[in-house]
Amino acid sequence: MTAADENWQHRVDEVFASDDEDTYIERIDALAAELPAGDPAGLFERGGARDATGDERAAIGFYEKALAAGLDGDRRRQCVIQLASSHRNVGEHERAVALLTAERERTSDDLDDAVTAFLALALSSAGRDREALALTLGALGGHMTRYRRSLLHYVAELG
Amino acid sequence: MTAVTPEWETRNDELWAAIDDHDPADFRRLIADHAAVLGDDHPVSLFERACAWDSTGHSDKAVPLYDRALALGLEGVRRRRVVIQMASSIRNLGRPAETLALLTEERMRTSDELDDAVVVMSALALADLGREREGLSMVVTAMAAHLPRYQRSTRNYARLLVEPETA
Repeated sequence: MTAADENWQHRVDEVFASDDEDTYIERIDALAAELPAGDPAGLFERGGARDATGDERAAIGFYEKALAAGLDGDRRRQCVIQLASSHRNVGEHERAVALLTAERERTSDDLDDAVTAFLALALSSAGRDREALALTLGALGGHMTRYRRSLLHYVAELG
Repeated sequence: MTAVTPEWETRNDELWAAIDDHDPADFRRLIADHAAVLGDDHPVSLFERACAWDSTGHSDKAVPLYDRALALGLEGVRRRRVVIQMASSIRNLGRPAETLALLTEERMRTSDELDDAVVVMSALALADLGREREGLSMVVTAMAAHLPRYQRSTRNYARLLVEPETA
C-alpha cells in the first residue's frame, strides 16, 4: 500500500471503529467517492458498511463487484470471507460453502483459520455438522503443542 | 520427596521425543528407569509411567497409576493431563457421557495452555453422543481466540449455533 492508500484505509477503519452505525454508509460512501469510480477497494468498503448495518443483500452486491473489479492483497480474502458470511446469513449456504471451499484451495495466509471457521459455519447451516466439526478440530489442533497426533487420528475416525 | 529438576525434565522430554525409535516394552523401561530417579511413589514418577503405558496402547495399565498419582497430590499441567488422558481412555472404552462429564468439570475448574485440548476432547465426546453441533460451537469459539480478525463475529456465530437467535 502507498502512503495515500494507508491514510485512506486508516480513515475507513476509524469509521468502522466508531459507534455511530447510522452514519456508516454515508461516511464510507463519501470516502469511496474520493477514489476513482469503480475502484475495487472503495466497492469493498461500501459493501462492508452495508454488511455492518445488516443489509446483507446490498453487501453481497458490492462485494461481488469489488472482486470482479480485481480487488487484491489482504482485502481480497477478507472480501471472500465476508461475501460468504453474507450469503450464509441470507440462507444461501451452498454458495457460502462453494466460495470458501475454493478459497481454501486457492492460497494460504494468516486468515486460513478464519476461512476454515466460516466454512465450518456454512457447512453447519447446510446440515453438515460432522464434516464441519472435523475441519475445525484439525484447525484448532494446529495451535496445540500436545495431543496433535492422537487428535489427527480421532479426526480421521470422525470421517 | 526428590525434587523434579529442570535437568530431569529435559531428559524426560528427550526420551518422549524418541518414542518412535524404540519398541514399546523398551520405551516403557526407559521411562520407568528415568522416573525411578524421583522414587517409585513420586506423583510425577507414577504419572510418567502411566503415560508410557497409555501411549503404547495399554490404557488399562495406565489408569491405576494415574489414580495413585492424583491421590498423592499430582499438580499443575500434569494433573490436567491426567484428566484429559483418562477422559480420552474412557471415551475409547465407549463411554462418551462420562468423558464429557469429567471434562465439563475440568473446564469450570481452571484455565491454562491445555484449554484447547480439553475443548477438542469434549467435542469428540459430543460427536459420539450425536451432539456434533454443540461440539462445533465449542471448537469454533476456541478457534476465535487464535484469529487475527473476525474474533467477535466468529464467537457470536458460534454461540448462535446452539442458541436460537432471539428476534
